[in-house]
Amino acid sequence: MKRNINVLFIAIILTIGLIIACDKKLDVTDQNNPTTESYFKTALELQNGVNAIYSSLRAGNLVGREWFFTHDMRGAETWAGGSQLEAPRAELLKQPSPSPSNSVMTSVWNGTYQMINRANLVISKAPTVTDDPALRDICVGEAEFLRAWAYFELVTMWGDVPVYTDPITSTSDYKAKSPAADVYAIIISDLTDAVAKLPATAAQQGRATSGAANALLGRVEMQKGDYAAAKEALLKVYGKYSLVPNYSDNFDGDIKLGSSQLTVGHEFNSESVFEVAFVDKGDNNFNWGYTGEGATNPVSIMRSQEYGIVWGNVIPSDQLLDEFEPNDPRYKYTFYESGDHILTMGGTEPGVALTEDGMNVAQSNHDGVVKKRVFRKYSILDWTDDGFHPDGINQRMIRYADVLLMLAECEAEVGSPSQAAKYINEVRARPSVNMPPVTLTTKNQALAAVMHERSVELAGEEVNNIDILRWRAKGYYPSIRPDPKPGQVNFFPIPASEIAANPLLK
Amino acid sequence: MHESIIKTTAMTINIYNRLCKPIFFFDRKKVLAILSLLFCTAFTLTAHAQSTVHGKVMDEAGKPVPSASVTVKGTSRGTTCDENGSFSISASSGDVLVISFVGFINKEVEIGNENNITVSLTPSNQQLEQVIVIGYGTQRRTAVTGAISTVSGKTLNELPVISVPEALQGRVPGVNVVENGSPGSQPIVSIRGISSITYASNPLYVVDGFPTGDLSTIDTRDIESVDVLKDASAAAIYGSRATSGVIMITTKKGRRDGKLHVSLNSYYGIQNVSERLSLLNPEQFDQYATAYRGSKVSRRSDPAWVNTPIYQGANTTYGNNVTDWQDAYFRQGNMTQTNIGVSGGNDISRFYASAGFFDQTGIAPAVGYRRYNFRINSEHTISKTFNFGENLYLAYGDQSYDNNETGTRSNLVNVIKMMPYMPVYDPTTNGGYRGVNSVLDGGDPTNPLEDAELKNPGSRTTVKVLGTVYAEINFTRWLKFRSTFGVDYANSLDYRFSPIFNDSGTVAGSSAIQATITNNRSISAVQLYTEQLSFDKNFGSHHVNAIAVYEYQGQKIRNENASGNQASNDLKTLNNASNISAQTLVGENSLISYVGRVNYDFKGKYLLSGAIRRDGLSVWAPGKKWATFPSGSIGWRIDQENFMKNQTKISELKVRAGYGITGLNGTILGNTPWLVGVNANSAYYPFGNVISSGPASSIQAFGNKDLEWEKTKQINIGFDLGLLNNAITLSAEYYQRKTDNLILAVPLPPSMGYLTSSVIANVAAMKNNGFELQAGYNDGKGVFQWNATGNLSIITNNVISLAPGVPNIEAGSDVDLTEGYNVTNTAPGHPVQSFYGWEVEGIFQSGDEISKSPFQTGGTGPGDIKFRDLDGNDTIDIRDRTFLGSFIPKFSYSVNLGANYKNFGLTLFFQGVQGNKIYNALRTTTEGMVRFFNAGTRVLDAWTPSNTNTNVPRAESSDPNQNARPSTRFLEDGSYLRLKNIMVSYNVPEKSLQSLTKGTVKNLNIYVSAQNILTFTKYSGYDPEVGNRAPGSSSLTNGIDYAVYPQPKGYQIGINVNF
Repeated sequence: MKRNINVLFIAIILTIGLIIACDKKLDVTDQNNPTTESYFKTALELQNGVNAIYSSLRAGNLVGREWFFTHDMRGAETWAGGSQLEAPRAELLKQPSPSPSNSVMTSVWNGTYQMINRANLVISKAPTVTDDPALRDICVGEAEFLRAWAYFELVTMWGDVPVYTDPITSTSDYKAKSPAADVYAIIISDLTDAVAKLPATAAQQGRATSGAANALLGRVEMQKGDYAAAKEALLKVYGKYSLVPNYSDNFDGDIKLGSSQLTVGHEFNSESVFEVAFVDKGDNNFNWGYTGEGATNPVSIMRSQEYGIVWGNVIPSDQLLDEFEPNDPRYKYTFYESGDHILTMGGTEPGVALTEDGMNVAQSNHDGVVKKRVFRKYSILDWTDDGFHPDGINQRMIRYADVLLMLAECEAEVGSPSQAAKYINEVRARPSVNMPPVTLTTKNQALAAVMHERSVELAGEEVNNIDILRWRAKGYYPSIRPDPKPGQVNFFPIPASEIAANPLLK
Repeated sequence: MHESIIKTTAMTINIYNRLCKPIFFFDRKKVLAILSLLFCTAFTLTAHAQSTVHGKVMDEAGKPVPSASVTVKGTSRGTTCDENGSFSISASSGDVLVISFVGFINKEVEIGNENNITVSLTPSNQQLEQVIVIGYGTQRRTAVTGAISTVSGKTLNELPVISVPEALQGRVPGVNVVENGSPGSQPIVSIRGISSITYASNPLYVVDGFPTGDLSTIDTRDIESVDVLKDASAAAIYGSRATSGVIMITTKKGRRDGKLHVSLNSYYGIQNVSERLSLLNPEQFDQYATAYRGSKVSRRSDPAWVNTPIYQGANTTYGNNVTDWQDAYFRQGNMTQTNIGVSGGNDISRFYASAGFFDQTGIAPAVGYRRYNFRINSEHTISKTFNFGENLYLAYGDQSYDNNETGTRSNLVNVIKMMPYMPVYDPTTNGGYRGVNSVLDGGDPTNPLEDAELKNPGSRTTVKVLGTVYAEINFTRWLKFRSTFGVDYANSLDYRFSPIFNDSGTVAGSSAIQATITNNRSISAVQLYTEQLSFDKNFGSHHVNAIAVYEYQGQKIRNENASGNQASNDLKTLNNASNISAQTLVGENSLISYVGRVNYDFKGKYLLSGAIRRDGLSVWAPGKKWATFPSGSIGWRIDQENFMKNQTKISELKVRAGYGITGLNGTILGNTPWLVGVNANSAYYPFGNVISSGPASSIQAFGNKDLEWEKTKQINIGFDLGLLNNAITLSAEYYQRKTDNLILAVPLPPSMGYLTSSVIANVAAMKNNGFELQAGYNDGKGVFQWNATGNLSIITNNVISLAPGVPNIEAGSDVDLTEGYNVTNTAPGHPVQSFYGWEVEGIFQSGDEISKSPFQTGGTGPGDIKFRDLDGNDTIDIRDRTFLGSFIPKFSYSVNLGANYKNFGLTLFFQGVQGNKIYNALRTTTEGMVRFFNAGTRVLDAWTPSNTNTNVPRAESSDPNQNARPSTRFLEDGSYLRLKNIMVSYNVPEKSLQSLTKGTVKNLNIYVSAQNILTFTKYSGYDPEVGNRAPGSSSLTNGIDYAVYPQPKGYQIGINVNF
């Protein structure tokens, strides 16, 4: 018996000895993800790479939240709804220049460069993709369009910025600032190439088209000061889109509450040149992670919540209210004020009257009338006042009315005032707006009319602050009108986190 | 040593059969044949006719020693003395009897012709005889040349704690333990300072030879002793995983006394929060609202609201309702633990079996921990040649946690921020809680009780199985082979159910339209094989102990994460749920090691030790997988020298020195930290407003194939002194630790565009120098006995260099709590993660003073803080920040006092740290006045034109001057001295016990104890024991108080019974 146990024991020990692992065990790789070498080999994979750039675009860092704040706080169209406006936003709004640690500004910096990195990846991988050259080229066009958009945001907010056009290969591949002129050159080159590669009509709503690329090219050239080139690009868009009769159709979207669909919006309409898609899943969730990542994460936007009556962080400025002509119907389409009715379900219900007490905002002064007002544009208040509900209204980044008014400005600068008036009047003649036409005879008249019309038509659409920079640079303040934000420093400081990690920006 | 008493005479046939036959199985190999001959000879015993030997065992004083064990050496025959110390055993002339009893030195007696013997046992000096676990073996304490501290199971169990790290707090000089969260959370343990900048400096835990993690599941009552290997010469035997030290845990084994021992330990206790902050009551809240925002909030000013009941049917209104949110949130915690142990053994087998139960509810809502655990350790002598043993531990743990316990807006932060007139509960809402309306209440905190109890309660259940089995072959008395196989299996399920509710509030998280179920499972299986050859032999005055080890340890991990929605609160599983998302992730890692060690001593006074370990780890890139970790140490036992023989004062004197190289456990970086993959379909873009229409793939990080081990070189010099037969003991250590290739998350400029904003690389150098002292006094004579132990540890930490192009690393920024600025800075020449910010000069009293001072912000006004212009450029900006201090204490200490008088015992345990700073980020919430919420009463002292003699700046909406930016304003002295434990115990006298229980109960000890009842500190937060609860949790945010789960004070009553 003992003997058998001993035999067994030696056998066990030898067995253990034999199953000892060999060095091959050390070759472990990641079994959960494809490798960088094996992926981005087909046009469809490349397109997934492009989709990731769009995904960064709609993230909380950018259009989902901080991007519209950066534009609106920086421009002259808004004011704080009260003490609840968070400090970094209040700082952008009220200080001539924010501190380098400003988190809102930093988010936009991070988000745009994430788009650029993802675009650089697509563009660098494209040459090795051969299975579907047509789709591959469209992918490159989209990547170029989005990269151009990102660099334009950067150059208009920070001026001179680091430029990356290829994925980095080493941790020390950080870049120093490039002069704004070089940044513009890259944007224009990208957009020119994108125009050639992109189709006029995209395979899916929301993808960049040649029209979007031309419209953005026009905006970029104007900002750079080349109105002739801008006009040339914009004319390629002229007539390809049309204004929707109902002005409000540009700012609505599908609204869901729980499982009930409250309304179907007019997104991707004939006026929309480029828009960023958001979806209301009916829940009250927002992707607070800010990155646009996570396959099941919410794809909502905070706009309506931030500017609504409940959070009331942002209200229209007195300046903006006073910009409207007294009888301009766009005033009521753009703002709610106490006494107005919300929850009218698109006019099918009498709705609920807004009261001073029911609005968590400071009062504003419109031509001497002091009461509480909030933005109606991009608001879901006509459909739901649920306290907290991030929305799914698509952000119209470029719409045809903007294109027409850009053309008007080009005409004012390098064409004729009467031609400028023609474009402006197209915008004013929209059925639901129906404002009397303007007659323009001098350049300054035309410029003043463009300034007014852009301010009113595009109020709260994140273009005014860029317009201010352009007009300020041209010296139109105070020659045509007073500076709407006197003392403002044109460009943001480079974010502290960038300076801390990029030795070339010390 | 006792070879001389073994006589080499003719072997008996049956022993020959028992031992040698199996060996001849291998007779084809000559070597084995020779080997077999060798040890057949060595184990030869004589077997004469047996007769009964009677005897009596006494102590020095001639008193009988009952229960002493008597065995015939080399056989399985054994017996135990009766209460008179008498025994009888059958043995023959020439046999050797081994008499042993705990607390006495073993004695061997050779049987001559007499058959009635008297044996006198000498009490053992435990200090001298103590055996220390050194990794792959044990060593007598006197022969140790490294820095090793031992904590006994008894000391370990004085405090009512769940896990070993908590029990070690303050017990070992150089080991720093900081509590970090609610029940079941792991504390932060660091040995000899911060060894890694980026990674948690947790030591390696080795339980009965098995390196394992998650010690919250191990029952401290099963532990015999804990040995802490602190310096490199000791720890380097664990090579690549030993940089942060090694904690060796040895669980209990049975005694070979032929008797069954049954023990029962049990206690029950309560816990309560020890500190409260002073917060605004409703009237003060109104006062503050008026100052900050110009008016009271609507609910407190609008008559329509002031007189409205807080909910329909309530008898208080918004005008007169008062809620103390701290009272509502904090509660009495309960704690109970019971462990039953049965042990026993004889010469053939011994065992220890136990069952334990632990249950704790926290002092905050919805947190608690419960554990059931079982253990069986056994060891069997199969034959002279073979031993077999196994340790098996099973535990089932259930941790209730609050998913909103950490982060910027944790529930504790919301306790401060909630409006004091708002009700906690509202029976009219769906869910029963009440949320704020940001319109009417002026801010957007969330109800912390609702968050904890309704929205975010989660549970983590873990089943852990830790089992090892080993077989030992004793080739000869000096050559052994041991093969160990072990499995460490953990299966944990993280489950959360967030119901449909609506609290009538308007802020994010006030309602849910669907119920959400989160069901995340993680399965980890670790396998261990250890093949070890040990050699131990004397050559005259030379003693050599050597080992050679081959070891493989591999882990396989599988994570299965699923979540989904249900349309009803009654459905709490994912069965037929909607929006189901599922994910599985697998991972594995392997470590292959070759270890060798030689310990040599000459005459027991000149000690020499050298070890080398070569590790291959799968987590590194090809070509970087292998590294070698050598170490060596020397010691001189001066007390053994002839010139010391004549003095009586010094009982022990040893000096020692060691050097070694250790590494950072690479698996904490992940399984493939160097490898970056494609996150395929990791997001969707909703083209055409269809959610899944645009699958998105991206590369989210930048990889580094050059990544390799982080290695630390350490020198240790120490001495041990014992006086008056070791009544007084003193140990002192000095060390220098230097890490040259620290792994650091090098921040990538955000402009590089990766979501992961850093890349890990070996790029820095850091050193820790330190001094440790442990002194003890033991008065073991007389009716009144007392002992004292003191520990002192001094550490200095300095970063020597960082990566080229990385001048410094900042961390700790938070939008809400630090106004977006980093709070710490890691730079060469300074301690790691030093606090960093502006210096406060005072408060601006007038506009005139502002215009004459350096420009701060466009919004600076009278009553704002004036910061110091350090670079003298007349502008206050980020360049005016400076190093403000370190979270690392200048020294930490503890004192343990014990006294016994007759049957009464008293233990006092003080623990403290001195000279560290805490950045009290919580004050951004209580008095920062960045956004409008409820706050601390300090805001009532805010500067106004009529209240100028204050250091609290003005209350101004949005804090335009950024008064709450990181500065000396919120930096506080973190020193504290805490009475960690006080315990009074009573041993029920043996006589009355024996008569009362008719002999079944051997001894009974009853105690009451209290923890944390006394803390001396100037710190103004909840608790100066601030861990690292940062959002994101990098190790560069230690000592920032983002609202910690405070250490409760507790009271227990308990019993220890032995049967």
